[in-house]
Amino acid sequence: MTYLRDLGSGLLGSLRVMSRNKVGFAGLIITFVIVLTSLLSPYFVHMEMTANLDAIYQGPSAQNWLGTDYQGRDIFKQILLGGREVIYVAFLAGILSCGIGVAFGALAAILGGWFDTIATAAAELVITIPQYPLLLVLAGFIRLNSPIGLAFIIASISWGGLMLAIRAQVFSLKERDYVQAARALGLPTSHLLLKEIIPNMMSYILTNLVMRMTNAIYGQVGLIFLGVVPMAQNNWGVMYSLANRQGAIFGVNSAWYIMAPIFAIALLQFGMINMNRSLEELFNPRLRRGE
Amino acid sequence: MPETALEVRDLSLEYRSRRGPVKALRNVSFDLYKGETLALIGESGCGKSTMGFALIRLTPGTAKITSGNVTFVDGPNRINLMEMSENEVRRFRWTDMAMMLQAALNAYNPLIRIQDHFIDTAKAHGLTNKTEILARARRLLTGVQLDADRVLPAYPHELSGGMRQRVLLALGLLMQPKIIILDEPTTALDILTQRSIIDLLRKLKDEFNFTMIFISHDLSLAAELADRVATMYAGQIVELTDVFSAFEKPRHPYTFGLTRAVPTLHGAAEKLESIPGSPPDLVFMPSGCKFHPRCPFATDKCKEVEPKLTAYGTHQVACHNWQQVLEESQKAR
Amino acid sequence: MATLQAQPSARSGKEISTMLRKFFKNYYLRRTLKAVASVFVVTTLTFFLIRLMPGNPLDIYVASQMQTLGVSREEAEVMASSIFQIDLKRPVLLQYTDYLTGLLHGDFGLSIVSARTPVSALILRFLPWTMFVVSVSLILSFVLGVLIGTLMAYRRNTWVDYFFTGFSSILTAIPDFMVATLIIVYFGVRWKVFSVTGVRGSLTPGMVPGWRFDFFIDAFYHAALPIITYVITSIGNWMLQMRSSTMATLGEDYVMVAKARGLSEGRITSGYVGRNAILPLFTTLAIMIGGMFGGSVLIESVFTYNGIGIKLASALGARDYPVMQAVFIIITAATVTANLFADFLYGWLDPRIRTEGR
Repeated sequence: MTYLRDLGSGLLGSLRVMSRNKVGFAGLIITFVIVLTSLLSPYFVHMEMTANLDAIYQGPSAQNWLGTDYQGRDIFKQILLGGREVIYVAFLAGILSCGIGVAFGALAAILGGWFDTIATAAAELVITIPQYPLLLVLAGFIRLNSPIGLAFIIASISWGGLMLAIRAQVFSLKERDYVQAARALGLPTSHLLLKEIIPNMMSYILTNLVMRMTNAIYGQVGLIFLGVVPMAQNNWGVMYSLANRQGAIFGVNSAWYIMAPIFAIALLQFGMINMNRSLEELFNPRLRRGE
Repeated sequence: MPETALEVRDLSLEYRSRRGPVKALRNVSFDLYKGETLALIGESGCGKSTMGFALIRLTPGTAKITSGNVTFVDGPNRINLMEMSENEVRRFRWTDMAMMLQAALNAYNPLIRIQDHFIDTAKAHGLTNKTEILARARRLLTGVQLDADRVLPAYPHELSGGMRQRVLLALGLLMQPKIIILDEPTTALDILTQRSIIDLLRKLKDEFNFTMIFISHDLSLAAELADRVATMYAGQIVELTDVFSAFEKPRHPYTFGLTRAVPTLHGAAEKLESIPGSPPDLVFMPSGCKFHPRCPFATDKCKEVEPKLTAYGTHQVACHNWQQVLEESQKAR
Repeated sequence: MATLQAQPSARSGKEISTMLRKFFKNYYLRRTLKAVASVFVVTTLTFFLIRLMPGNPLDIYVASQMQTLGVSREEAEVMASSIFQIDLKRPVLLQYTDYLTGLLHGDFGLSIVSARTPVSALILRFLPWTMFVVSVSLILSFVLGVLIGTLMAYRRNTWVDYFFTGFSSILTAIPDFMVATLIIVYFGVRWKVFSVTGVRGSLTPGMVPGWRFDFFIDAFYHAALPIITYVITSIGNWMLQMRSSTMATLGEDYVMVAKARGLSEGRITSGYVGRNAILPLFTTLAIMIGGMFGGSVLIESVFTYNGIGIKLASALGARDYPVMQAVFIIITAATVTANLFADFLYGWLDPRIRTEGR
């Protein structure tokens, strides 16, 4: 694909391009660090989840960088280990949601007719119904046992926006001259789809992916907080939920237990949201030429 | 000496840009006589629209007027536009001098009715009596051959392009300005509508007796409406003369080139010649005369010394070799 | 020879289809139909979830009643029908239509948890508090967001612009209920700006509702934190949208023409730039309202504010299906109605939409 070639000599070139936007690049680095840490830490960090009742709710110290929780366990280690599941579910939900959105949107525009009418109606409905209550109801009625199930449910209700946008874009491109010309030359629609439409919308799709991921994090943590999802031991959402239940909000030292997961989630989301600007530099050639 | 309406002296304007200052207007000087129609002709990018904006001091933030004076003459009063305060300029606009932009299609606030546009304008200049304003608007709309009852309560998107252009003219005359500047008044219109607008402009000018500058790239428009023609190139006026001389005896190679690029009705199948090359980069301009790279009459002097706009009788031209050009143009006729 | 007789009274098929098309093109009608359809789909969905899905709550309830109370199937089914408002003896399709008619009459069944209280009564008690908080928050965040956004556009690339962009950029990274928690931790516990226990609930215990000044003050006092949370978390969105919309509008020709006409800055900003720039924001009003109702579940939980959100949360935890179903339908209906209202407002503000169908 042409735009990949344009990326400058491989990885280093791409990095240079992306570093043009300072905030965006910072976001990229932050995201990268957090994701890497979360994915790899289970191999390096070991934690006993046994209670140490002498050390309940201690503030930060040399041993416990972020203090201890309601059972005397180290918070910092929990944070290192707790991102994995959250990121996994968020990423899965995001990819699924975007995949459905792009596929349905493109198909609806290409096939037209009754398929289009039905798909569009479905998308508009899914958008109108308040997302989070819908998620709650579905989660309440359908037994959730695994992170994958959770990701699927989240993805199944959030594809609407992207679907409509892709559909609109494909429609407008369908009518453009060069598409008609390509058609006349006998190029199949799939070729056009892959080479023209998707690369053009790449930055939009990525923005959407990040938004779906943040939505998925919200959904997960919310469901855990409400006790709908079976809790894994180490999970930022679980930490937040436990901290609330154990009244960690109300003490000065104990507040670290609740602030830690909040900070971790906020930092990750901040990184993801801003990372987009860096990626835009990469995918939007017009921006890159310094126009 | 005919009375002047506007005196422009050494007007220069620059835009800030990443590549350097864009010199859009360079020491432009001319007099506008009361009651005349002056055509400002040139290719896109020569600075003609910028000129119009500069005269009402409506330039974007990145533009700066680096030198010059514009004096508005109203009987015994001489007002220096460059020294006016923001508030004075605001009141001056549309009342004394009205500049009508190119895009009549998008000149209106899509959310309010046409009559509100008239009311807004009038209120901004001190008229508050709604009935009186609407009565005036009615008369003007009828004057531009529109049905006032249909147009006034309408929203802009309900009117066609030609109608919108006429409404803009009516709106422009609302405060009875002494000078009207029209930027490409016919460009976006189809040829029949163009015709009617041209006729309309003539009629309005006779009726209201204002002084008119119109800016265009279309030389044939000048033939229809103008008393005098000023051709602009690279931010400068290169020739300023009466319309007949401009067409039949041009003295500047650029004007000459322009006339030969326009087909005539009764000429034999003349060869149309376009001017080779393209307008100069306004940041990094060629030395000497800015037209010399495209000029068939260019000599060595042209590459070094920039000619100034000089008057020879009633003709002004900025060219070292204008006499040669005159000879050629008379031969060609 | 046969001649064709004109029949002015009969309409040809083509005429009818043109009429129908024009009818359906009417902006207001389309929007209303969409709204009704959404609510309809939601009610059908919940019926499906409750009644038809494998492992559905109704069957489970019947089975559990049979087990725990040792009653026969018929008796368990009778109990189930009054709770879920579904008569199990009738065929499924009629169950569905009965269910729908019941809903239209405001009959949502009985709460499993709250000792056979009609769900509709519960909703009527708690819904107004959420509506109150959400409406006030929406208006506040919209108005403030629009004003700041306009300011940012006019002072583009100055410190004002950067400050607010950074501010909203940081805030959007934090989930709304976590902002609520942060407010409690910092303003409540650490800096003691308010009493953490005193702010709980929608009213101070013992306060009697009525048209009295002290009632209103108390209500506002308790609603203040949720409102602040909603506003902080949603204002960023309005700010950024208004900023980009205003910047785009400032580049429009008619703004330049307005200046050439000598209109005052004030008139141009409000009537020409502001009015046009604000229009696109109405299309996202729906999503924001939906988001606010959605957020109410968790935000009310964090502040223990007695609105409908916290009711859904507790019903979820207790598997109180009739309440869950009812709250979900009501929240959807409220969002859809607010959205419809926003659409109508948009149609009223933009004359170009009204003539779309012509």
